[in-house]
Amino acid sequence: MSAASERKRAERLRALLDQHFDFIWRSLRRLGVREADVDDAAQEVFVVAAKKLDQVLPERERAFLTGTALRVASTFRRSSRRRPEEPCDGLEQELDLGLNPEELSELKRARSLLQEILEGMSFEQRAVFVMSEIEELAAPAIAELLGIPVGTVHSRLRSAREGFQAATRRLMVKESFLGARR
Amino acid sequence: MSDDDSERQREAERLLLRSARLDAPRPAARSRAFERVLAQAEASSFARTTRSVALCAGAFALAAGAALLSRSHGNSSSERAQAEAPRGVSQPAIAPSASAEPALAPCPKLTVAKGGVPLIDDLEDRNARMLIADGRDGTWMVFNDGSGKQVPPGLSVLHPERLLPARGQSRYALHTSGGKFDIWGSILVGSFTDGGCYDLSAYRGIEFWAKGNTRIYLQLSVIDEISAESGGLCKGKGCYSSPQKPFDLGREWHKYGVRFAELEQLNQPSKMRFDPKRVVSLNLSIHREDTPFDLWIDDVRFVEPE
Repeated sequence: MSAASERKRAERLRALLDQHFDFIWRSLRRLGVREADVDDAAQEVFVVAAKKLDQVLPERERAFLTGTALRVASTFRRSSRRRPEEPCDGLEQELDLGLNPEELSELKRARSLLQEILEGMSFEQRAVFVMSEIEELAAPAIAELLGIPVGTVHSRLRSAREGFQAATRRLMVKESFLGARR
Repeated sequence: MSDDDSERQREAERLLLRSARLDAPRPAARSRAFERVLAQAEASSFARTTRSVALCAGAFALAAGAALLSRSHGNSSSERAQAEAPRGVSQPAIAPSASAEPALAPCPKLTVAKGGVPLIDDLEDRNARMLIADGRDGTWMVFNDGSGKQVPPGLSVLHPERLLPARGQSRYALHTSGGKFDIWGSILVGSFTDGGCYDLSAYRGIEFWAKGNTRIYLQLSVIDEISAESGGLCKGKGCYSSPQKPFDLGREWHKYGVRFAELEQLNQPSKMRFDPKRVVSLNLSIHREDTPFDLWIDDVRFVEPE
């Protein structure tokens, strides 16, 4: 490979990281990769992408990365199933969310409950739900990213939403979720 | 469901979904990952992307443990070399490297470090894998001889532990402690890859920060001294003779290190050569006479050429 083509390749990889790293990191986390593993999982996605960079069309980069992230997430989830997740600490100090301590505490509790709800979904439903409800992507975009028909996106999303709503109702009763506000 | 209940439910759902905002990469972690991926891409290595296999690391570590067992029983490698030599044939003090090299069997897998990425692991990512860089993707594990108790227990993957207080910018480090061991002791192993050789000749040595109440022995285990039963290339007797450098740890953090050239010198009475092209793992061992023990390890890195 010539120096010029190597440079071009490195530039493309850097652009790939700049554009998609945060999305892939968030997706991995929400697909169930433990916080302690998610940096490495994200890195693994991009290592795979770098290996296959020449075969990936520029307009298909995000879809390729998403497909890779699904496989990597599945692998990481399997390998860490026996280890309990450690609570996240200190992250809020590094993220500028503009929240007061009470709001932050409530959000942290909510996130823990959200993780529980997501764990109750199938991996396929979870992927669609995360992309639709959290990443706020439209169904055709999700279909393209996941390589599935739009109709399948709708049906999985419907099931996932029903599960999410039912789980939220249960939380409100059992955990007194939002009860303090009443 | 009343209107009030419906509104409460929607509010709860919004809050749950909004909580996902907390899932974001730390700025420092993000930039670190960028550097690692780009370094790997720019090195054009990418020869290895598979995850470390703990069992494989375990096999090599057990082999290293057996080495300690034999050492602790006073059967040094030089003694073994003499014992194994045919009667009437003198054994050279140092195996001549030029003539020994052609006899070496090829490594089953070889990953060549390109250099330029000296940090092996700063443990800040809180997982038990080495940083994935320069072909490295190994795992930290602990093993022991089974005669005492250790935290975490033997055969465990070793996850970083929170430092209280932090050591400067460092918030996590490897930590293990154990009681009295009677056979050969315990060993902390960092396999560089998932079982093959790692050619680290692009670097000149290893440094790390540590504190503790014990003596540790640093070894770089090469595949030729690991028994075939444990996945190495050594057959018969006379296996396991890694040069090892002792470090007496203090109760305060201190930086320790060794140059590969020192390991060559330490290796001189041994039958086996230290070959930086055929390294499998970094071993930090605690001999039985140095137990009980409590030790912390942090910021493990290679020394680059000057």
